[in-house]
Amino acid sequence: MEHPRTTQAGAPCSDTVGATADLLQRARLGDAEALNDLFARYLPSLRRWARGRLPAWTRDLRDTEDVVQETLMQTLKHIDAFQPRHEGALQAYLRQALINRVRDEVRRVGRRGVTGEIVDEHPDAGASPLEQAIGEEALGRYEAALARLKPEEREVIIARVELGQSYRQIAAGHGKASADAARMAVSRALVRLAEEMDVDG
Amino acid sequence: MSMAEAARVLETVAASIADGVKVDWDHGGAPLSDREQRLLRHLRLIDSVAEVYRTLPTTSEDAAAIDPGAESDPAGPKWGRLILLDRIGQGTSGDVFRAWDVELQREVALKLLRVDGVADDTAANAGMLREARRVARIRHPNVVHVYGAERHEGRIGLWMELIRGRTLDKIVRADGALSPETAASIGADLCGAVAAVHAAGLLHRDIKAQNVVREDTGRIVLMDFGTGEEIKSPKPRLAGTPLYLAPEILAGGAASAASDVYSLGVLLFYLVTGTFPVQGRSVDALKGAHLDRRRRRLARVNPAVPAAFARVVDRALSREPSARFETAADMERALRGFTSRAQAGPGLGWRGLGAALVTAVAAVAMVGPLMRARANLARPTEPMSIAVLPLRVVSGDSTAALLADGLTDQLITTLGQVHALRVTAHTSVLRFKNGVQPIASIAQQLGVEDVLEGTVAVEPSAAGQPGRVRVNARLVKAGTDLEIWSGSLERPIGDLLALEEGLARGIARQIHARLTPSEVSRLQPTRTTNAAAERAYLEGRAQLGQFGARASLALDAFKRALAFDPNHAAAHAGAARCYVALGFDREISQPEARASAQAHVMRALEIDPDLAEAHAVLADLRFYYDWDFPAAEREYRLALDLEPSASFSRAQYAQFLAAFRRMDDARRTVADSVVLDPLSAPAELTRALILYYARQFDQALAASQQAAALDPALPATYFLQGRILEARGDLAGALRETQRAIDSSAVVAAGWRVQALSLTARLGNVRQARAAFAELSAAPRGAFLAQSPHEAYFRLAVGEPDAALAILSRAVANRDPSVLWLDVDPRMDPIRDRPEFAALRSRIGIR
Repeated sequence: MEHPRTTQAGAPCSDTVGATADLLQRARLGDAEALNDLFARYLPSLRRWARGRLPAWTRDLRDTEDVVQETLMQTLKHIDAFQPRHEGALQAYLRQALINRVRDEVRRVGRRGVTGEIVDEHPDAGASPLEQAIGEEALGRYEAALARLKPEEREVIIARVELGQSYRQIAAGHGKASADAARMAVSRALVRLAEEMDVDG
Repeated sequence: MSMAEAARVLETVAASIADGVKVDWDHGGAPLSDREQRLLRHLRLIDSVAEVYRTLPTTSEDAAAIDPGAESDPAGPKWGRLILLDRIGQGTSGDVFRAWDVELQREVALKLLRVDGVADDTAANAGMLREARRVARIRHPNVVHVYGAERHEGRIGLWMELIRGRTLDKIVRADGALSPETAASIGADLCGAVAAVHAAGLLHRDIKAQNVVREDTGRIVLMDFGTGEEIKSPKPRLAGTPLYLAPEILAGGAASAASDVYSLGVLLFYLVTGTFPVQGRSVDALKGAHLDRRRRRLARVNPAVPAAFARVVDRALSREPSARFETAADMERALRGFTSRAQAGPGLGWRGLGAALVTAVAAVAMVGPLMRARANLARPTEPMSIAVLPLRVVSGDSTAALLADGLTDQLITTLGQVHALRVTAHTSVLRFKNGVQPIASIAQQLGVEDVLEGTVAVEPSAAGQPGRVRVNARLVKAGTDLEIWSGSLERPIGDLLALEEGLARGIARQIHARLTPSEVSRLQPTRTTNAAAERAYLEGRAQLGQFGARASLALDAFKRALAFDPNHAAAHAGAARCYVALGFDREISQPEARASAQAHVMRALEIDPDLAEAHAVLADLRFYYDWDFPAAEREYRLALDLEPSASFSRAQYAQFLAAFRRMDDARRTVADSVVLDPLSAPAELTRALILYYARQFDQALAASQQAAALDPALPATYFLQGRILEARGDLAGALRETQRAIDSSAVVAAGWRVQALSLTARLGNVRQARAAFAELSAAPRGAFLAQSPHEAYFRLAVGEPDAALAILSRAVANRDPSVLWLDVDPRMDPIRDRPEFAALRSRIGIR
């Protein structure tokens, strides 16, 4: 007997590119329902993602949710110029917006002098979990190399490594023929990323 | 490590990161370059990033939203990230399940290892996991893709792609042996797979037909790496599949890449035969079989297998690990060479010629147009008949003569291996050496359409310049005197024998339209490059060509050849042929003849398993001395398949057939032999003998007279004429011819004298005959006589049938080869109806 899941494996599990573009368009025009749909789609994964990127102090202050939600709102409303080739592109775009927002946030907090006291007591408390794991410098190299990759390479890495999507979701969201094709694309993109990191030395 | 292998390592690591599988960073595989090591460090950093994201806290709200399909995973017991669906296999080391990978949303096969004895041994567990993860890093289309290995709930599991198909073992059991082409293609894929395993620093250790699956798509997948104790143990368990184990492992040695290569050889052997090269019911029996070197060569078990394929298999199965293919990749190349030739059809490619390449290419350039012309003229069904005349020496010394003889001989032997050709035997063309007859006349006498003739000129070295040799050759269409092709080849002297070989192979290979793939592969050099050895060998051949009593001279020559080059396979076969003849003629004792012949023929086949002449001699041995008639027939057929134009082997085979009253086959076979060697008295004489056995006495007499006309100096023709006349009742004529044979023979076989005495007795001079026989028996060589069936003929002639039967019974007990034709010998007519005679027949094995 065929496993029930195998029949679904190759089929997109969410909307097509056209539907996403349509939702975006409606959201820009102030359609609350469309904005709601987009939020439902992207907020959970980005919120989880942000937990890895935001410093410890923000994570404890319910700021995460605020920061992510606010960023998402702002971004979705003001992306007139952005025409996503597919969902994965939009996702990566949103993630980049979040990174920028997180940096701004950290700088803002830093200017207020809050981190100073905490950092003195707990050297790592000002760092995000990622920075704690691999260090600021290494994360910088990772980010820089990622930014230099071709968009489709960058997008699948973000989807798989950072957002933890299944290959099936990636196939659907990034225009890959199958989960296996998505897996292959991620593996190759990771090798490319390593090569790009090697350019920096 | 090659760039491709390094790329594969990196990709595999990247895939593991993507999958979220733990990566074994301190791998023990082949060394990586600096750059690859840096890339690996970057990947490790990326893995850390991925790990952070993987371990971020996830709320239930997140989870549902992140993967909306997650709640529809199938139900079932879980092991780590896998949901067990059903058990699909059970092995000694654990159970195999079909499982659902929740993370990657796909079906996988999960092998859960038994925990007995290792559960508490954390070091062993760690080792097993490490090795399993190494296996997971192997990426090859023909290796089952192991996705990962983990320990959960006290059990170690490997999960891998789910393969759907049949094992090769099931395929062979259900459908029978595979064709060599299919087996070679599968084998090449498997060798590539094993090479990938070795490149990862691992051994497979359990290559067998049960561990290879052919998917429904045709993809070949190597499965089931050593697991559990096999991984941690330096030696494989013997309990599993000892038939596949290399001799050194059975002897207690360690597994190695060479032992995996051996197992590949066993697997290929099994695929094309359904049986194994070394057999035994127990490990001890197998060990004994290896020690006794009772390994069966593939060509013996399945003569239909092309020699090139058999060579690959036999090499992989070499007893000495160092004699096998150095790597699985080398073996893959050998098999791919075979499959590409088989697929491309005849005539493509000059690959793998190694050192002979330069000469060979020159030779092809020379003869290329010749065979294109031939191909155009060729009719598809009938063999083309061609005679290679002895090349004439136009200038040069004895070296040139040697080259000319060697080249002629090699051309005839090599072209004789091609089924699409009928090549006149050496003995018939020798007659035209240095002759002046017109081509048309020669062609007519030989009964061929085309004649290849040529000259050899050698310029000696002078003023620091090396000598040069020039060969001119032309092919003439006999009926029209039309020159179809001509060419010349000039080479520096020094490597004359390589030149011989190159030219012969070049011609043979150029017969594009007619060469079968196996023939193409068979046309490989086997001869010596030692000029002195070659000279002695050719002398031996010339002696043997003279037939009969020159066997001892020929043997001397072959022994000299072997002194110069102990690996001259054809000289070994020649020596074996001499011993067989000497034993048959009772020049030496039969056990001695048998033992010496056996040793030489086995050595010949060791050096060149495809040497037709060696198989032909082995056939004679099996027939004359071992009385293993099915084996003899197999060898005759194999020899003739390897060299269809071998006239002498055909004549021997005809005699074999006649002994068992297969007269139609015998007559057809001997007629073919005569067509191939139309001017040879011995060939015609054999035809006369077969006709005599078939009781076609008039035809037999005509044939023997024809033989005598071809060579009046061949005494055996008169002896046979005497036998024929005797059978026709002309006893006086019989005695006259027998006496003539004795008088004209330098070395008289004892049987001839006894035959003369028998006729004397039958003509009424019994007392005189008895006295002469007693004198003969007392002579130094008489000891042989007393045990031989010759005395039986005499006893019959003097009216003592009981004594004759007793002597024959003793001869049968001694396996005297001369009683093999008992059933068809007209001289046995007086006792043919006696029950004792029937008993003799059945003791010999004549049905």
